[in-house]
Amino acid sequence: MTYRRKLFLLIALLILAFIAIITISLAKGSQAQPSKGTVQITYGIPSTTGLTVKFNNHSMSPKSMYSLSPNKYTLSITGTGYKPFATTFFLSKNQTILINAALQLTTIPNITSTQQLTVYGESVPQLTITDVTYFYQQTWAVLMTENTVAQYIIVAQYLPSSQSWNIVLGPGSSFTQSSLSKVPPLVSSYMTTNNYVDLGV
Amino acid sequence: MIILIVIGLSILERPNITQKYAVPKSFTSAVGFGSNTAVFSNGNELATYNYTTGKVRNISAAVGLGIIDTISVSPSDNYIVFHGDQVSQNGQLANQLEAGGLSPVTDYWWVYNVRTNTFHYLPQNVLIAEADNTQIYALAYDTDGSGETITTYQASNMQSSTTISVPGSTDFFVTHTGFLLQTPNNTILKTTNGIVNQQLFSNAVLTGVSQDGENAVAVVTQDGDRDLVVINLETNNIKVVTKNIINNPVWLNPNIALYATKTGGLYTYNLTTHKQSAWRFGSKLSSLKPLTLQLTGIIGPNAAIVTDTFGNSYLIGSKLIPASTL
Repeated sequence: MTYRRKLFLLIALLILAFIAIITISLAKGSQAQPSKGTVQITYGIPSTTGLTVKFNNHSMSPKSMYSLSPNKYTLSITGTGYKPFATTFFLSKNQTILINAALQLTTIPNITSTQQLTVYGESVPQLTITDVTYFYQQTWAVLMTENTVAQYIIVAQYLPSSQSWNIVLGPGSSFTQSSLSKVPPLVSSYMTTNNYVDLGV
Repeated sequence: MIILIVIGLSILERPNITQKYAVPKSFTSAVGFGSNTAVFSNGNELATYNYTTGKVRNISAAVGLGIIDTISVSPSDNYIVFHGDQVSQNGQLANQLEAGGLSPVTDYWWVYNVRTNTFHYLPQNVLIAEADNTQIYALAYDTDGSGETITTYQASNMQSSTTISVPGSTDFFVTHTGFLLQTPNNTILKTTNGIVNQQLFSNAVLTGVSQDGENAVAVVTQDGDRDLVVINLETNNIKVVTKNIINNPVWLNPNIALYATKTGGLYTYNLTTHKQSAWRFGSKLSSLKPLTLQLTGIIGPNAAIVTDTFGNSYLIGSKLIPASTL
């Protein structure tokens, strides 16, 4: 191969390599994500399990944060036991929108009998309810109960998906400090203030 | 020409803050109330102090106000909103609470109607309250722990008209289209209904909002620096007023922020004219160093309350006539 041919081949290879690089970079550019915006949602409920979240009628799993393309959106959230929520908003690129959904229960779940309560799916003995204090949209309750033997305290959580009350603590006369980790802050504070906790344990 | 320049420079450098007077703790919550006047609590009644005449005048009956830590005034000066740590026992306000079945030994937000000379307490769960010329707004937490709300009351009769649920907030300001919310993690949100909230900043603290509600002043932390910025609430455009400020600015309704810079200067920024003015201390204020001063409040374009590192509070300004008692 003459020197001229070698030089020609080298130049041709260089040109091909240059074209390849340009083609690849253009291809990558066309695949690049456009600038997105962020949508944060606060649901205002203890658990998002079982909720259906839709942006412009497209279902997405319930999350606290979504990265979405700029657009006008209608957000709808539905779930058993909750009133349907919907709102419309515009999302621009690099913008963050916080949606304060604050889901509302369809019914106010009063506790009138301990027969409404279950623990591990089992019913509990009949006790007379003397007082009920509700928290968090009436999804948590501290019950004072009694029978002929003694008084008992019960902490229960309402599960909107099954529309049932589940016992989280009790029945008992008092509880350990560590057991309060099972209940949310306001209930924990109420239990401590009312001396339902064994501080020495 | 040289003479004119010298005269000009001497005017520019002349101290414009020449006086300081020690003020009691009860006066540190004072806010501007009309021209050259501040309103404050003397522990028993609401009173005004005209700092250019020295006159002090009671504007409410002696109701046993107790210690007041926060006061704000509607632009018309018709409504005074304040937070009392605890009213005086056996005073008229304590009686009013007891008549409503409430404990007088806890703290409340109150609204004073200057025209009718009447006090109204707000619910015990209110965190912050604000007033405009016709309405009172109260940010409150739900007592069952389910969230926070802003309730709007008609100021004339204190009847609540609307309540909206809002994201957890530590402060709020009324704008021409809704509210600006300050969240606990230093985010500023703009909202009209509390449901859709546009995040304006993720690391900022609001200082004040102009009377027309169209502009806001805030301190934004960026790359370790704290900048004083103006936010156009119509366009969300941001203009940096000054970089590297220290301490927390204070706000004088309807449009003035007082702030200190790292270089040791004290300045006001007028949100209407967009002009900055330097506060140059005279020799009588040499013991006060803007770098270490806490800006406690601004009660007029040239009068402010500051607190030194020893906890002593002073009214500073020019052409001040001290009150015989505050």
